[in-house]
Amino acid sequence: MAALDDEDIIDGSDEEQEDITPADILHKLKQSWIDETRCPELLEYDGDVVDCMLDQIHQMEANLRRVSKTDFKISIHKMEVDRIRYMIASYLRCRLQKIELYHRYLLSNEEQRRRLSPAELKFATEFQASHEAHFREVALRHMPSSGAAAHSQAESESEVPLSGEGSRLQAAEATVAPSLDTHVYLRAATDCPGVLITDEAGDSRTEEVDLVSGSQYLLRYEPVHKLLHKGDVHLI
Amino acid sequence: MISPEEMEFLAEFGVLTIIPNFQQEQLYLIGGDVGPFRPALPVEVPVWLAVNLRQRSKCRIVPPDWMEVDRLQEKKEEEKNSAHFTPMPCEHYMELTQLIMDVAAGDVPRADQIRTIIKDIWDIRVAKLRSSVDAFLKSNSSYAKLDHLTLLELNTVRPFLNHSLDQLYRLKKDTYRSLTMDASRTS
Repeated sequence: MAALDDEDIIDGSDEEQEDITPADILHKLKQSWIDETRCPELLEYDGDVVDCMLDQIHQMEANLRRVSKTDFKISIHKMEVDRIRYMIASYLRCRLQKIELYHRYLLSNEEQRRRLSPAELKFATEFQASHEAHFREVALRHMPSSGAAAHSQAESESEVPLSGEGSRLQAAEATVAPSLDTHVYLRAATDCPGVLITDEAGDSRTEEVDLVSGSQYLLRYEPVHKLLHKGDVHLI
Repeated sequence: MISPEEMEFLAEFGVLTIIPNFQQEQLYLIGGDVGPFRPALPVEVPVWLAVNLRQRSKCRIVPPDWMEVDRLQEKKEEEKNSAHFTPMPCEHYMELTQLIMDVAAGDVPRADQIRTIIKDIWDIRVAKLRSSVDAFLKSNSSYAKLDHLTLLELNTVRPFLNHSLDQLYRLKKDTYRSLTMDASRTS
């Protein structure tokens, strides 16, 4: 009699493999969320996972609306939906914050662009355009063009957006790139032998570390960022 | 950056055993199936569900195995005698204790003693963490291994430690760079 029969919900999610359950995907979402919030740079967009979870939520909410107000089950399902929604919202919000901060860097680089979802790409381009229009309107057009002319002679290529006569935003100076030298805490998911940590300071020694599966470490982000992209380590 | 509430949110993904006082058939949650619920029969549910049901007086919470005076006493001795961090029975032991004590202190035998022992264990570990952070900074090494350290303990030092390590690294890098530039200019 419970109209909340969820068999269709349970196997509505898998695409290629039959044995991935929504619970696995939820776990993946949680991991992506944690990685994204702890990471200094923007990671690859986990579109499949987010879309799948949103599907699940929509289906569940549709079911909840269909069913009569049997108070109890509804509140439990609703609580779970709220939790998942919070994770997704927090994940997307974190990404948007990073996009706003690093928009020039992300758009300038083809490899970085690929990490954005289509909607995020649109947001980033529009954000950059309004950002520059704003600076131009508020300040740059009032600045003497002689200073800008001296700059433009020093910089030969015109990758800079032309924003009228008095102003040129120097691409390299105006680009804020994420600092890969931040220290992060991570847990190794698999054994990663031979991670090279080059210490550019002092005596420039290169240490080689073996990351043991299941252990936690504190180190600079830069030596391990490739491992994070591959999924061999996770941030905590 | 990472608030205690977020830590609690993560802790709530764990599993707890409850004894419901109501009847309910199996629930197909997105995160997995729970139930069926029969009065007086124990059933495993996620922590967030257990806490909520207990708040509505629909169940009793069975404290996890490790939440028991003698075992915790042993753990505390082990922690005191060891120079490193010992593995904790649960990744989120502090948050779980807090959650359970908030809603279901009556379900836990000798709750006050347990609270005190857990607080002692926490204090010992945080003190160890602080002295090892000190040693790490003095030793000037570029990485540290932090096995068996739980998230909440990590978060007591995270903001300060991360920021200082980043600043130290930047200072070192720039000093080294300027030194080598001077060397190449004079030579």
